[in-house]
Amino acid sequence: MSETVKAIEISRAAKAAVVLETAGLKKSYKMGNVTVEALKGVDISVRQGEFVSIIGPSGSGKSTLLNLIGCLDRPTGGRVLIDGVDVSQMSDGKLTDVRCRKIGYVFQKFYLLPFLTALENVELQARLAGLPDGKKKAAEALRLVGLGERMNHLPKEMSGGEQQRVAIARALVKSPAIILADEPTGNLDTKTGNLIMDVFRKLHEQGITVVMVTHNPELAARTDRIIKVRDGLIES
Amino acid sequence: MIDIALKNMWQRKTRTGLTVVAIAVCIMLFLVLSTATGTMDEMFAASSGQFAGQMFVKTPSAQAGAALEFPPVSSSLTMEKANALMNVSGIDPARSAPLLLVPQAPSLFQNGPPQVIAAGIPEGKEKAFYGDATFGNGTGILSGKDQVVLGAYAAYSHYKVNVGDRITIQNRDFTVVGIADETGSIITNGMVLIPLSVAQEIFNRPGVSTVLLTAPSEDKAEAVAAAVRDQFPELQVMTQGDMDSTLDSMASMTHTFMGMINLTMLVVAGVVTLMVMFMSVSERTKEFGMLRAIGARRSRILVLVLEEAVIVCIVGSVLGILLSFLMMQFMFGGTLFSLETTAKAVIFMTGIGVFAGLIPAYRSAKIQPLEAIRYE
Repeated sequence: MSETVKAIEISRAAKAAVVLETAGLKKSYKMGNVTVEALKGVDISVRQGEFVSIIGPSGSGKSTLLNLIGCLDRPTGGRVLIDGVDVSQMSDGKLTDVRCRKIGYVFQKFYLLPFLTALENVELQARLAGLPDGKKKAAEALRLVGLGERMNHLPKEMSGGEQQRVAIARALVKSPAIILADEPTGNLDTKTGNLIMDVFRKLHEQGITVVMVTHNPELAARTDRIIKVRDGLIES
Repeated sequence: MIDIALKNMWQRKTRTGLTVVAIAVCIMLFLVLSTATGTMDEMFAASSGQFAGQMFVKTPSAQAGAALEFPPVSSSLTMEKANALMNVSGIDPARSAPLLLVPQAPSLFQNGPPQVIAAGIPEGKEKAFYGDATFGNGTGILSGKDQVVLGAYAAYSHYKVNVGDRITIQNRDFTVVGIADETGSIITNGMVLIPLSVAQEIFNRPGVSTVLLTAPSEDKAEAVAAAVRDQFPELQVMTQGDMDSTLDSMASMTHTFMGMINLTMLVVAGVVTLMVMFMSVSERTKEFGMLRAIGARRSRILVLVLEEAVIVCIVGSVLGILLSFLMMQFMFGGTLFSLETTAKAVIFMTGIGVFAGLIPAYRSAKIQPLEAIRYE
């Protein structure tokens, strides 16, 4: 992507609404008698339609940050706002609802149910979100990630890249406010990883907000904005 | 989510199948034992009811607990004593008779009446033994020394003969002249009535086992029993009440035994379900974590696990019912199904399914998505 196009996109994103915001976000863990501060006060904001990558070395706190903004964990300090709603102190049930409706999660290891076909895996998410016409929407999502012909295959009959695309379709089917991807290419070879990045770019071009954690600077360079995390703080 | 539960179970076919089989076997044993117990109760009730207004006079046995014996096959009376008893005033002599009782097939139940019992009885007194039993096949009257009258079970199941056929008892051939219709009484169904003199000869017993006395009416039975006790203090009188309590005592021992086995069956079925569900849940920690991560509420996971447990138990119960049909055909020559027992078994098993699924389901519902996803 040329620097000009990137600048135009960043400018467009700057005018869009903020879908994700953290303020003074902290997370510490007790390990025996020692308290480990994984995040020491992180402030980030992501606007509608942005494609953002979070990079940093192992142990920098990038996955912890993703888990907090993905409502998979609760912060020990600070706030997380999704679509303007503070989710940091929500009850378990309400957090589940936020995960169900607002956040599409793409895991490194896909986590598809092995006994369901691609279509059923995606449809399951639509059912959990209470969407009408779940099957139709699941099929549309699969077509969008280029799996229109592989809908009725089980995960074991698909390649790693195809499985990850099913996982992306699953995240996509409920039209979430934001898609969070945790090392989505981590289990894939370079060529397949690039294909997955193409899918994310395509989604981004359609106006979908994507936040991706990676330790691969080359992949991060393909996103609009890079957030560098080091020692629990935002470096840049 | 029931389709998800079914698909997961289908994916784990071998384990699901083995669990279903284990539950089916437990249900089958539960049904067969419950039916056997119920059948025994019915037979015992019919057996003592057959002797309403009657009493067995017998020698008290030296063996402890022998007073429970019904009918009194171990008792032994001389002919003189038997004749004296037949002269007790107040009895109905036409429906009273000395009997020589010799078991021909052992009891199905511990201390229960023999399945087949040879009864030597004076010709013309047969009705004293079988009471109101009807004969759709032949006659209930012995009119020759080589004749035998059989109960339905003795004829069709034990000897496998019909009227006109011959059977051999103690190397002596007898012609079947009548077969009593099915009565429900284990005594009448298993009777092998032969003339008393022949019975004494072939069994080499000069006396009799007991004398069956009949009061003119049921309400006079106690008065007759009192008169016998008065005149023959050395003997024991077994009235219908005694027969009932004897049979109740036998039934209670059997109930305890069968109850213990049944309880074991249900506990085994419950433990098997519990183990399988625990195994399944621990194998699927990541799966539940993922479901929670993508927005499945705790209640959904709870229901998903419970559904699996209940489905396994219901399928196992249905298979168990089918197996018990076959088992009963083999054991009893017919299906003696009680809808109530079957319903009880299915409801109980489903309850066990819910109970056994509850703890693993609760544990899986508590899984934190993040911990589960990290879990390898």
